[in-house]
Amino acid sequence: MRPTNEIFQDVMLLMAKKRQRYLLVVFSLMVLVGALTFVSGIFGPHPQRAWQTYLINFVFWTGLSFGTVLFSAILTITNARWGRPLKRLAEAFGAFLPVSFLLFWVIFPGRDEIFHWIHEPIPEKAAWLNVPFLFARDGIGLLALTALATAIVYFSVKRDLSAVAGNTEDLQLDEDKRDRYERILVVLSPLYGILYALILSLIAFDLIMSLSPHWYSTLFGAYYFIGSLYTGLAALMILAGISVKVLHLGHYIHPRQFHDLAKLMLGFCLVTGDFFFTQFLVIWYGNLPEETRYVILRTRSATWEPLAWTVLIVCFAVPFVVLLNRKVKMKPLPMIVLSVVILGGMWLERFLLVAPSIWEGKHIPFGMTEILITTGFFGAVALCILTFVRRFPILPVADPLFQEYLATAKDRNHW
Amino acid sequence: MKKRGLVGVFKYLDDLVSALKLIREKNFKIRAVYSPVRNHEITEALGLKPSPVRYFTLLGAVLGIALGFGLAIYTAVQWKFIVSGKPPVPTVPYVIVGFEFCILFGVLWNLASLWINSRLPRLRLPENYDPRFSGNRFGVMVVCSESEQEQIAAILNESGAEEVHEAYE
Repeated sequence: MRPTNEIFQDVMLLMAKKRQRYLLVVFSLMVLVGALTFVSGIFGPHPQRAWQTYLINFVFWTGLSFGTVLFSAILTITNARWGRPLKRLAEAFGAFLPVSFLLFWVIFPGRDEIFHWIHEPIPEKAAWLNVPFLFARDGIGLLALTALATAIVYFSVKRDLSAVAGNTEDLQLDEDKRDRYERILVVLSPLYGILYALILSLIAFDLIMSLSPHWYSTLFGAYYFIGSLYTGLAALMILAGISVKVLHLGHYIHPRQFHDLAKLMLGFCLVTGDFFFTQFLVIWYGNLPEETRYVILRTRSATWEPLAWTVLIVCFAVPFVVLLNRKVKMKPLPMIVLSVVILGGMWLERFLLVAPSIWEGKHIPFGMTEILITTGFFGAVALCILTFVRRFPILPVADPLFQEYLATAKDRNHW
Repeated sequence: MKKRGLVGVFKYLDDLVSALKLIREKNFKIRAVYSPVRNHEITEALGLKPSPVRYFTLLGAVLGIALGFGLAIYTAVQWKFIVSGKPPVPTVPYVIVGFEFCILFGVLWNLASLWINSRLPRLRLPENYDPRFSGNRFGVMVVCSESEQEQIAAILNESGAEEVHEAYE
């Protein structure tokens, strides 16, 4: 088994190369372009387009980042060994969460463009749908979840840094084979899991469902947070693929991780599809006007129908068929491509949930504005991750279960 | 005529796997390997192709979907299940029937192909079988002529076999 310090040196050296500076510049430029497009969009002829794109990207990237951090929490909760090499990669997305919390407040000045119920209030729902309460509860919820996610990332990273600094006192294992940090994480992770479901449901109800204030679906919250975990796993897959292909971390991340992660992806592909169908079937059967209107607009109108079919095929049918194959799951390149397709599909799915409620034009509002604002968000997420992995080790070097995994990984697990 | 051979009884999986590798290197014919539990290491050491059972399962599942939809549509048309506000042949709820049939036929075809592919039921046990192979021991049966016997016995013993004895198929 290689000592912690050696792995640490190995990984940190990898990230210290110069080409990352060039990437920093590219991602910063993306953020800049996105921000400029957004600002010019707000003051342009169609401010609604800029606002709705911002909202779509906010719910997409925030859900994705919370979902990836949830992967790290799941590893802790299940005491899993297989996924440990991916743990820090998942936590890297946590770096975006504080930024995302700030980005949430940008929605506040655009509330009049986004929420119909502000200028056409619904008296019976006024106790829930009013501006101060909505932003207060979502703000507090996001703050709590972000704080918890940051705490999980903090203790996980701190273990590595203190191990490298030679501080062994906190790393003593107890009878459950847990050091002090793991004992903290074991408490935080289930809390995070519960809060993840609650807060992301709240975000889905408030920021997506309330856009069509007459429509309701009790399953919508669950649909959103499961979909977010799905996107989170796809994003993690991309990062893992990059780690192996570009950063040459193949010594630590093996085909087995790709296989298992892809199996999880297949699982959540099915769950996401199932939640959609469960919701759809009930609405279809009941045939109540206030429920069906939302679905008919998206699946039957000439404007949105092609997009609805695209989403179903790209988010569900394609990943399902591809992921049935065992060999393809272990190959990083096809998995990166598939994950990009899934993320694209899930972005369109969020687009389909949000845009028809706000946009009233005849054509799908998709053009340069949407692409550039999305690029801006992508740049922001990538910038946060890059800053994080340049500063902290990209593998959980001092995690006892990571060490155990490396020690027990058999030859047939290697590339 | 029954082929004669040697049976090696192993206590440890690692010993068995190394024996299998050596026997295959020397091109001797392995007749059967017994293990109380399913094991990837043995499959890999024998260089076996993945089992064809999965294709039967897939075929059964696809067939099940077709049959589920078919049955639902056929009954709807035959009995004219007209529900107000719904098309005469509604496809949305039939997804559930299709899904259930997919699982059912997938499982049944899986089971059937498992039986067929492993030539079950086998009413008489082969002579070289030892009840310990269903308990806590691994076993391998290697076909050999008398001249090869010594060499194979040496391989089995060196790999850590607890016991090596002659047997017939």
